[in-house]
Amino acid sequence: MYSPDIRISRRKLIRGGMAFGAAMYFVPGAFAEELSRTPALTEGPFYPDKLPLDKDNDLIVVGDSTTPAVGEITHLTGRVLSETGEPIKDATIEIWQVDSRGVYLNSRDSSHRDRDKNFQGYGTFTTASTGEYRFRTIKPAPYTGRTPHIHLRVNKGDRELLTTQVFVNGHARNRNDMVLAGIRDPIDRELVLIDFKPIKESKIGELSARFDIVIGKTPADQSP
Amino acid sequence: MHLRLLAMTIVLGLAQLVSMAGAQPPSGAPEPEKAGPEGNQKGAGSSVDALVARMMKFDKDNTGKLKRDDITDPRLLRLFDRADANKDGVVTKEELTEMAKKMVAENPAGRGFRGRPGGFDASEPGAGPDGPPPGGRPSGPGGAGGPGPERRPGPPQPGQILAGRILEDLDLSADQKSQLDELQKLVDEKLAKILNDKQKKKLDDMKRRGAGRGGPPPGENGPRDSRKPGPDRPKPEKPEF
Repeated sequence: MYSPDIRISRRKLIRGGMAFGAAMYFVPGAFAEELSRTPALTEGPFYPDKLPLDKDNDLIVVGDSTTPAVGEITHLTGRVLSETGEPIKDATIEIWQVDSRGVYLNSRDSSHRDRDKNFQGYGTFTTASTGEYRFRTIKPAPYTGRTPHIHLRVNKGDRELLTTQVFVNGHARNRNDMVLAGIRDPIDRELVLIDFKPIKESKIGELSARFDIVIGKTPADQSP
Repeated sequence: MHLRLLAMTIVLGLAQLVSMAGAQPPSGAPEPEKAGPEGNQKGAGSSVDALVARMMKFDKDNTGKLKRDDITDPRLLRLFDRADANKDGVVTKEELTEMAKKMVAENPAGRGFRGRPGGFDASEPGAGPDGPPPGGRPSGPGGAGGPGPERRPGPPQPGQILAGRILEDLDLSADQKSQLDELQKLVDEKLAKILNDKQKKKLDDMKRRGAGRGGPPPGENGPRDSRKPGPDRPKPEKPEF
C-alpha cells in the first residue's frame, strides 16, 4: 500500500496515488451521525500576493530546480468529505505556509527578509472522485508570534468552501497561539491538530501528516 | 531631542490606541471571531458539557459508555484514547468529563477568549512576521499584539524591550536573559536621562493606566509597525460558505 516517494519524481507526485492507507478511514454513508465539520479559521494576511508560476502539490521543489527546500519533508495527505462522509471531488485545495526560516511567499513578509528560494511556499491540488489530496511540503517552522501552522483553503469552482489552518499536535507553542487557542470548542481544536509522524520506510527522515477536511455543506452541484 | 520626543509620543500614542481597542465592545469589532463553526459563546462548564455531549453521540445503543469502535470519526480517536484513562478500551461519561475539564484547563487562553470582542481573528499576531493585520483595523493590534485576554504572561510596559508572549516565544537561554537584563538596565538609565520629570511622571501614569486597561504592548507593535508598510489586507474575511 505504501509507496515511498523518496525516489519518486515530482511529476509523478502530482497525480500520484494516495500512499497512507486512506481506505481504512472514512467509509462513505456509514455514519448514523454527521462528521464534525472542520472549523473555519482566518486566512491571515499572508496569502501570496503574487501566485508562483509553479503551483503544483510538491512544495519542496520549485520548477526544474534540482535543489530541494530546506526543512523536514512532510507528506500532507487527507480527504475532502461532506458531513456524511461522501468524498468531494473537483475540490481544489490551496496550501501556503512559511519556509524553514519562517518567511511567507508574500512580498510584505519577504521584502525585508531572505526567503528560501527553493521552497514553493504555496501549492494546489484538485481532488478526484475519492476526495483525496496530497502535498509534499515541509513541516511548518515556528516563528515569533505564531505556533507552526499551514494555511489551507478549499474551493470548488469559484466557490470557497472553507479556509482554515492546521497545527502540529503537541507543539509547545500551541498553548499561546492566538488562532489555535482562540478556538473555544475543544473538539474543534482537536480537529485542526495533526500528528507529524516519521515514515518508517524513509531513510531521509520524512514525515507523514494526515488532515481530513469535512466541509459543512455539500457543494450545490452534488446535492440531489 | 525632538526626534526622541516624537518617538516617545508615538509609542505612548500607540499604547493608548491599543488600550482603547482592547476596551472596545464586541459590537464594535469589525469582524467577529470565527474560530469554529459552532461559534459558541459558552463558559468553561458548557465547553466541557459540549465535548462530552458530542462524544457521547457516538453511543448509539445508549449504554452510557463508548467503545473504540463506536467512534466512527477517526479524527476523534485521539480524544477517545486520551479519555480512556484506565486503558480498558471503554470510555465512560465520567472519563470524558475528566478529560474535557483537563483540556479546558490546559487552554486558558482559549478560555479567556470567550466573550471577547473580535480581533483575534486577525490571526497573525503583530509580533510575528505575519505582522499586525494591515489596514489599521482598530482591534487588530490590540488583539494580535496583546498578551491575551488574561494578560498572561503579562504585558510589556513602555520602555520595556522584550516581555510577555514574545519573550516566552523566543525561549532565551539563561545567558541571553542576563544579556537582555543588562540591555534593559541600560535602556532604563538612558531613558531616565532623556526624559524630564514631567515626562517621567506621564510615562508612569501611562504604565499604570495601560496595565489597568488591558495591557497595551507598545514595544511589540511600535517598531514593527514602522518597518512594515501596512498595506491593505489582501482579501476580506469571507463568510464560511
